[in-house]
Amino acid sequence: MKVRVISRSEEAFTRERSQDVTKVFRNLDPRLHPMERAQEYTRALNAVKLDKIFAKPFIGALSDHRDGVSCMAKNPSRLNCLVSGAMDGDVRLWDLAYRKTVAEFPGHNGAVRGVSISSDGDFLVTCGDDCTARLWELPAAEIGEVSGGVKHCEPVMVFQDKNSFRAVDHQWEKKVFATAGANVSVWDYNRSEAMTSFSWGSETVVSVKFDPAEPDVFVTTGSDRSICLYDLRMNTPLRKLVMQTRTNAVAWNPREPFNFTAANEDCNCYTYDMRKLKFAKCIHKDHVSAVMDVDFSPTGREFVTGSYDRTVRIFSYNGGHSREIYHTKRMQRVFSVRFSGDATYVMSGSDDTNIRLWKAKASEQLGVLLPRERAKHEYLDAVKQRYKHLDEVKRIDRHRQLPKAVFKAKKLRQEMTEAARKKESRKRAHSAPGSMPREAARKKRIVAELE
Amino acid sequence: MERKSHRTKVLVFGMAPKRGRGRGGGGRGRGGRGKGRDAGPNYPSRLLKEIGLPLDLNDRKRRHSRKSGKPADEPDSVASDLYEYQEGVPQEESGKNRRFDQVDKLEYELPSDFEDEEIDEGAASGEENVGTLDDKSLEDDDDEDDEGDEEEGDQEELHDRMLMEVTGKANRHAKKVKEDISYMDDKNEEVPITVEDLLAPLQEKPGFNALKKRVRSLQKSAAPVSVPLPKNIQEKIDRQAGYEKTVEDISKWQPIVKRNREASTLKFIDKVNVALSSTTSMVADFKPSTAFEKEVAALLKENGVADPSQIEAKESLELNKLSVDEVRDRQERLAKMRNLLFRHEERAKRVKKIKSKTFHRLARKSQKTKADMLADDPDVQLEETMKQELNRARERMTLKHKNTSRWAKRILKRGLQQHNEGTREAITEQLREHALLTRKIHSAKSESSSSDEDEEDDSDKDDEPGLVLEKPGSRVLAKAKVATLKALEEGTNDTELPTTGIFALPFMVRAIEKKRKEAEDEARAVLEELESAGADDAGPSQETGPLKGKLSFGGHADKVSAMKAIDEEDDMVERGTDSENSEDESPLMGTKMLLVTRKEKKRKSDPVPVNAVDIEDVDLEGMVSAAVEHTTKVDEPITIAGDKSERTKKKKKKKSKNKESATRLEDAMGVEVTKHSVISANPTVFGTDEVARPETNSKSVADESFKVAIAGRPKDTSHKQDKKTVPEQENSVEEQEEDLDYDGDEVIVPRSQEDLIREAFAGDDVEAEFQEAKAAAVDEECPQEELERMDLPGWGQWTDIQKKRGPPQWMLKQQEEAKRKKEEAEKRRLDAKLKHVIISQKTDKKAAKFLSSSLPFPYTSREVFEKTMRMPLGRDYNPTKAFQDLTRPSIIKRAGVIIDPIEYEDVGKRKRKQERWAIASRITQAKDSKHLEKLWQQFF
Repeated sequence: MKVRVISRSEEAFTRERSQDVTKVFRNLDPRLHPMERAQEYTRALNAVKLDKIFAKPFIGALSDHRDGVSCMAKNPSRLNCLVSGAMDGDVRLWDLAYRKTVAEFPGHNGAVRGVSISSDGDFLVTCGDDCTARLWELPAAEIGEVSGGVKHCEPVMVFQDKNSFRAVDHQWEKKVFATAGANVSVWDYNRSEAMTSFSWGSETVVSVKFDPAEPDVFVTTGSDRSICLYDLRMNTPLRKLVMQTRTNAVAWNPREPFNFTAANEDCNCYTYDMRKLKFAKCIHKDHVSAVMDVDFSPTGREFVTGSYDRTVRIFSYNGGHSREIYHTKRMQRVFSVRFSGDATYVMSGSDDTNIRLWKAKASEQLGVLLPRERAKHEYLDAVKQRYKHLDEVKRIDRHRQLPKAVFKAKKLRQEMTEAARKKESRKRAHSAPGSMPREAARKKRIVAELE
Repeated sequence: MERKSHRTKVLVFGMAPKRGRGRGGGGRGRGGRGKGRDAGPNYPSRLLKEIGLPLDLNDRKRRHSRKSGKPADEPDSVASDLYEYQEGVPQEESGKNRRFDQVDKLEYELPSDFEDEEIDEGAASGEENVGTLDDKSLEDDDDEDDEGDEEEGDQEELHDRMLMEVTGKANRHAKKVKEDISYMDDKNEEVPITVEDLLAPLQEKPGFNALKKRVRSLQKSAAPVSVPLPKNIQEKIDRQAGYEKTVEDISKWQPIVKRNREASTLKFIDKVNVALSSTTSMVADFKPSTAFEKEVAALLKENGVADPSQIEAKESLELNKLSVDEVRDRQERLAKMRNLLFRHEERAKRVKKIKSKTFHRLARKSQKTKADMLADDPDVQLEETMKQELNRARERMTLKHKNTSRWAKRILKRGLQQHNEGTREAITEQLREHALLTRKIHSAKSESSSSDEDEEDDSDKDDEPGLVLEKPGSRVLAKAKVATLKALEEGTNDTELPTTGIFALPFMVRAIEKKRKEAEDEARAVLEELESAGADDAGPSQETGPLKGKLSFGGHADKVSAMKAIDEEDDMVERGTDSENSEDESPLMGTKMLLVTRKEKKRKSDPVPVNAVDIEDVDLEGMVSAAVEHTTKVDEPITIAGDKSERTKKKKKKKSKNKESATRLEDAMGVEVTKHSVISANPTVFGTDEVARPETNSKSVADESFKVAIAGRPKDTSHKQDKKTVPEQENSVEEQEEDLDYDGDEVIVPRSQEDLIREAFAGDDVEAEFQEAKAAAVDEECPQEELERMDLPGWGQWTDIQKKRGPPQWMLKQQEEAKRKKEEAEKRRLDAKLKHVIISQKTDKKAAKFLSSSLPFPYTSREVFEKTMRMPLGRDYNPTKAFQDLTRPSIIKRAGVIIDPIEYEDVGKRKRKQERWAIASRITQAKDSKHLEKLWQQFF
């Protein structure tokens, strides 16, 4: 039987314009929603699946270099500006929005090992194997697409040293930079010779990084497997931490001035509190080969790492495992990675002469979002967050397609660690109780803390 | 001048530490950011040459040697080398550099030819020149010296400034060399010259003593400096110190970092202030730009209304105009008001001063009467009633007067007897208050329900003040009569018996019948009693009039104690005879039990309808138990005169029924004693009571001590003994109910719960049923494996042999296996060993997907985790605000907005600042000078 009743669509008689949104009246009485958990669970599941569908993190590649990209620097005051140095001495300034070279900085003979931009975004310092560090003035930002071809800049100043440089970094908000090489030197723009030079031990220093929040403190890593802290106010090194393997790079957490993360040769990253160097605060595992570079997101909640295993990973600042892995078929060894200044993008420079631009959140919708859209995304995120522990959601959320080599290496590593664990447990079982004290994993890789 | 000289001293003698600090390149001290670096030790060598400083500025050893004033023959000292060379200079020439006449020079003024440039001229022999400078610095004529010092200081300053400009560093060189003088002397003289020698010529000079003192103190303090540490160790120490310092410094971030980590949301969006903050600021900033605007502005200005505040002022001025009359009126009115107020205040003060309580009471009363007079007005009345209602409601809420306060509890615990008259009175007062307040509620409720109850209420109202329940009133009796008759009728009509359940069991039916019969009998008795009561209402009841129904606790200890003695005696006797009885009856327990059981019974099986209004159990019980507690503490059984007949009856029963829990059985049988019999709280006492106690005694107890006597019941029991007291009792009970059950006096020895239950469930095999149910539940949850059936047609019947053998072995095995499995599963169950419990361990497979397989990491307890999952997030289940709060992401950022590294802000400082601002604003508003002073103190 069909009952016909009078019915009116609200839209038909309340809408004045096509854009008008009809108000949705909701009854929040919980008795009317007996299945709320099931509904939200389903939404979470769907959201996770949609995430998989929309996970297309790769935005584009900057491919003007003719040799492997060895180092990159983001401009602290401009978002679309990236400087990269290549193994052939080529230094380029990029417009990220258009993925084009804006300027070139010719002059280096041999590989460029370090680039750094001052925090006001006006000056660039590059250094390399030719024993020079060069100061350049960055061309002013242009609005819109670059016109008139690529500029060729002249160095403002050239700093000469006896040894080759391996890295350079600017002090935050000062016209001072530090270089690493045979020793650590601190330079002023206006002086041709280093203001101060530190040496503690005789090994090469491979990287240097200033603490952005506490500008006088900086950290270096050396080929003697050390991580060394300095303070310019004290004018002295502070402490040296020797690990079992070399640390390739460090990054300070810009929101937690005493914490830094070190990218180690042993495939792991270690987060340290500079006040407590006896143990690592967190070990970030997942790479299957040496971690070459690390950079913190400006929010301080994530960092990106590039590895010799041809992948880029994004870790949570306190997470033991990565939340994301980026790879392409053509991406080779990653030598440098950077987070963009707005924490939305990730750049990776690799041996295949390309700089790749990725989204920091693989499935994020870019562009301007309507408030309703944003609310929807936030809701789905919240629901995902809530149900992420449930098996099905977890399974889908954590699933990643890995390159075969990485997958196999991972398996192998798992096997190896498992075997080691087994061996140790057996050893322990057959030795006198107490003779084999257990060692915390966070301390295991630390050889010594030198004063 | 004095100050100046002091400064000089610092220059000369206080040099070492100062220099040490500067020299370390900020090694120990720590200036602002980058300053330490500026003062760093690494000069370009070229520059050093130019300004004439020794190349090795960092040489600590030299500094130490100089400081300590050691002979300069240490081979490593550059300075001493210099002096060794000078040793060869002939004495004649020594005047040039004034090595020997320096002491003499001390007396002299600054040489006129001295100039600062000398230092620059002779870069190599700079020290000598500076040495001359030093001579002068040692000069110590009070006046001259100070002048010289000043001059010299100026020069030095100039020199330093110049050096600083050149090198960007403070000149330490010049100052440093000054100190070399002391050991220069030592070096050159065979006979060591002491400071005393040098000072000797100055003896006559003024200020010599001061100088001497200074020198002495210096000599004392000058301790030898130890050998400098090896470089690597020194560096290590520096590093350690530096690390400690940096760590200490960087720890200032700790609270900020902690706060950020704990924050549920971090915002990285800078607020861009696009719009103007307010209309006023817009108006203030507005400048006429176009021609039209300018014209308008000019016009406005012409008329003096350009400023909106001006307009307002003008308007208000216009509006504020008052006529002279108005002003005068107003003033008069104000004066009058003020006068009145003043007088009122004065009067209040005077009244307040009077200490007499009686006066105050009277005053209050008079005020009240005044208010009552006012209350004729219906509005006021209404208001009054409302107020009272509110009070009662409040009382109901707080139950303040129910002896629930800590004070009251303590008093009760210790026993009323322990306390003095005042305390007892207070407690009584509380109870009274409570009764008053709660009763009113009750009456107010029933007012609307029926006219009968209206009448009751009237009587209640009469009774209210003082709680003297005066006459029971014939009305009540009549009512009771009607009620009884009605009940009787109903009782006969209503013969239907339950057909199912335990009440359908034959013995229960019989019991019910019996009870009903008894009830009927009782009712009849009640009727009779009522009639008779109606007859002698006037007589005996009036005798005890004023005291009836009055609550008085522990009134007179003497009498009570006398009573107690008697009772105790009885007790002893009874105990001797009937130990079982005396055992289980603590007086307190007895009464309490009684109260409950009585009420229950009334509800369940009493055929007589109770027309008294039902009173809330809680209130009643609380009240009565409190009262009973008091009374029983005093140890008197609650008795009511006029129960003798019952007592005798009971006594007889008891005797006939030997020792075995006589009273209990009586109850169980539903003997007439049950409801209406009034038994003392201590039944054992009760037994001998009749004999031991004369009637007058019992009466006196009822009157004077703490007993609860029930209004309307004749106390003279003598002529009632032959009659049945039951009806009257019934009546009294009803009234008690009306009067909030002040009794608590009836005691029935309760049957034990076990007996009751045993009787009630005599033929009921609950346990077996339960076992069955459990077995079924277990079967359902641990089902046996489905196996191939053996009883299928054809199975095992192929051949004769097979038939004989029975089912094949494997099948049997399988079956056994299944059985074993099932048994094991059953054993594993949580309720396997619990005979009387079924614990369901069913799992819902469909719901399993909503459950986490293990407790996720940050959570430590399952409950917490489940709690976090409970509240839904969506729009459909939450209001908008909650939805936004629940779904707010932990980091809010926008693409395209640069996030700068964290900047330090002192959280505590900001807070302090805010507090100070708050105080400042309060200061501006404060009028009271005292308060103001306090605020200022807080501010600073």
